[in-house]
Amino acid sequence: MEPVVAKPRGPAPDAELLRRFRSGEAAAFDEIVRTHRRTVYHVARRVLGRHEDADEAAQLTFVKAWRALGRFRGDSSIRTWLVRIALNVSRSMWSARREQVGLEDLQELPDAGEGSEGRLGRRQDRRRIRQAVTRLPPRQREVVLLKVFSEMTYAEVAEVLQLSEGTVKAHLHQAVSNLRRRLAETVD
Amino acid sequence: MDRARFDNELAELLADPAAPDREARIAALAACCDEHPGGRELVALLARSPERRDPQPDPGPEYWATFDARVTERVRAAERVHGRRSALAIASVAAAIGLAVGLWMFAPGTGPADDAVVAGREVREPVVAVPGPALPDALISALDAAEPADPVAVDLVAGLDEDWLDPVAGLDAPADDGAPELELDEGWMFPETYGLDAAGRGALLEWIREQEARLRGGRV
Repeated sequence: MEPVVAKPRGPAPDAELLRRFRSGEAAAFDEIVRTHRRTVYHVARRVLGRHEDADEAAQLTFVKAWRALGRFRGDSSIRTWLVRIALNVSRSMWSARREQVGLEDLQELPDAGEGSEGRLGRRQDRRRIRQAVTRLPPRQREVVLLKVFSEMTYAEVAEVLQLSEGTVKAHLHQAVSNLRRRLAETVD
Repeated sequence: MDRARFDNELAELLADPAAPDREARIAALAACCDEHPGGRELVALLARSPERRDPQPDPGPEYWATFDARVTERVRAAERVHGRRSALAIASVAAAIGLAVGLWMFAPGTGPADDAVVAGREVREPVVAVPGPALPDALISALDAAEPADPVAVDLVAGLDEDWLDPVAGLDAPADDGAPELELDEGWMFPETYGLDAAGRGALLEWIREQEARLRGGRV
């Protein structure tokens, strides 16, 4: 199984990549794409559900990153910066899709399943949780996607969402209460 | 366990897979699920390892094998559009400056004075203090009246008003914005304005008149 959010594995440090990119070395950007493409794709996939949409969002994320990288100051890591762009792109696509197809259709997100060991009850639970997450207010939904499902630290989530860590924690607590209430409403 | 504490425990354990006494705390939550409807699924979620909470399928090696090349292709496409827009923006600024210089040079009583004339008369005002002549009223009116639907006007504005400086916002990558390509007429650029001979000046005057006529009414 693919790591939920791939951690960079042995690439050049961010500062070195930025220096090489600014000096006109195209390979530096290629390395950034190679290192972070899975992270970006999976964030988009979690927000958008469908592979086709996640692919488009991931591609757009890197095009935008390429345009902005020269001005990126390195206040955050490249990884959290890319996740932020991916989240913004996915958010826009999500809004556009919701206008087109309606919320109900969006809740039918594909289930990754668990292969041969998957059990119907567990899959149904996961589907219900995912539907409940879909109905959360945007900030709470994003905190759950990044913190609970993507295993980012509070500091990273705060960096991505441009919030304080305290605010991220507050959103998570509210999200959990809301999730439980929504799940209670949909008990079979 | 009251509801607020139940929810807090859930949130803390979901956020921290390495929380102290994790298993005992999960067991305590599981024992209270009946009192707190909706809690059962979340406690079950807690019991799973983080990577199994919401597993995502990987698109596979074939997908990743083409991913980088597709990014490169889209970046190049965006680069080409950016280059065209920058060139257009520079050309339009240069055109405006050239037009203003041309009008200033050929307006009666203005323009750089001939050396022989300067030698024979007293300079009354410092050169730096002399403001340039205003553009003819007719030209200003024509520029003001340029319709927004004019493709040249619209595209010139679009060339300067892009989201280039804010790549994080919006979705409208230049390659995908669907905006029509700008098509310029042959010879739309003005002639060279420096070192003109008499014939060149005549050509420049003719070009300026054409542009004025074009702005007043039909395109030339």
